[in-house]
Amino acid sequence: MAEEVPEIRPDGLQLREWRGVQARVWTAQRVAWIAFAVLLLAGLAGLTGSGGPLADGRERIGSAEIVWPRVARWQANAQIEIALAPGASRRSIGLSHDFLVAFRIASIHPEPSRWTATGEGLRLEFEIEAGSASTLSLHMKTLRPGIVGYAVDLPDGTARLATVVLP
Amino acid sequence: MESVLRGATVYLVLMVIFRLSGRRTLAQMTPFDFVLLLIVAETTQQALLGDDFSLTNSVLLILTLFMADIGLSYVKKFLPPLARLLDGTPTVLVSDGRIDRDALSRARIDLDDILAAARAQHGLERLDQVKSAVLEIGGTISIIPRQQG
Repeated sequence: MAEEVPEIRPDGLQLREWRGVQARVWTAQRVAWIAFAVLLLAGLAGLTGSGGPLADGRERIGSAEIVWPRVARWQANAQIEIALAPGASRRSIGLSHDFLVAFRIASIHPEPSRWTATGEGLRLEFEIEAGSASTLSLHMKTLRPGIVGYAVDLPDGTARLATVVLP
Repeated sequence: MESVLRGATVYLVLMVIFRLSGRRTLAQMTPFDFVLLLIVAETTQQALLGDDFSLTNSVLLILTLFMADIGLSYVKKFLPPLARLLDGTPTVLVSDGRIDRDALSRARIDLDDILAAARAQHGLERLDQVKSAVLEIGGTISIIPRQQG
């Protein structure tokens, strides 16, 4: 493909300026800067995960309250906290199969006294002093990007949750 | 597969961000700009590699980045409008002694930058000695001095 030789302009410069294209690029740059700012504000608000007021969801199911990540990042750490009201000494929670596909459990505090694989996923049993409240922390790592829906069985019902895992 | 996709995505994202940041961003680098660039490189490296520090991953990523660059250069060769969009075009800031204030403002350049380029390139002392000034694709300012005499 033969390259065209730019014409000599009245001011003596031999160049093709394409000012129209450049003007559109300048406008696009300004629009992009606004978009960058919006993205940063979204990050501060928690819409890109890793902290922020909107990053976590909170739901009460009966006497338990669960805080889960609404937005997480791929191959990064995420955490679920379950606050259990005072009750029996042996309490359990269940994690659905979808949860186990989406997250790898790194650690759980306090440690479960028993892990049982069930048809639906995994059941964890905890020994907690009778009549005491307790908070369970599940530390996970996300395994794949996308919108992940899963269920967590709590003493008084099932929380159906979703986490957006950003790439 | 993930390595190639990561490499291609990072290449694309970096290209878009650098293009949309404007030519001035890297054209006149201050020491702080240089430090910023190093931080960008470090951040990019982590996004590229993830948890996989294997030689295979590194080789795949390097090949992806080089092939993306070679491929894009061919695409731009056959699609000149895309080349103009991605690389930009030269912008005449001073034409036959007339200053294009709109171009200066939109390209985020001031007269001091033109005077600095005039001093550095031709040892010119005044603006009226500048016949033309062009903001080049690479972000540098080329100065054409007036003929003396």
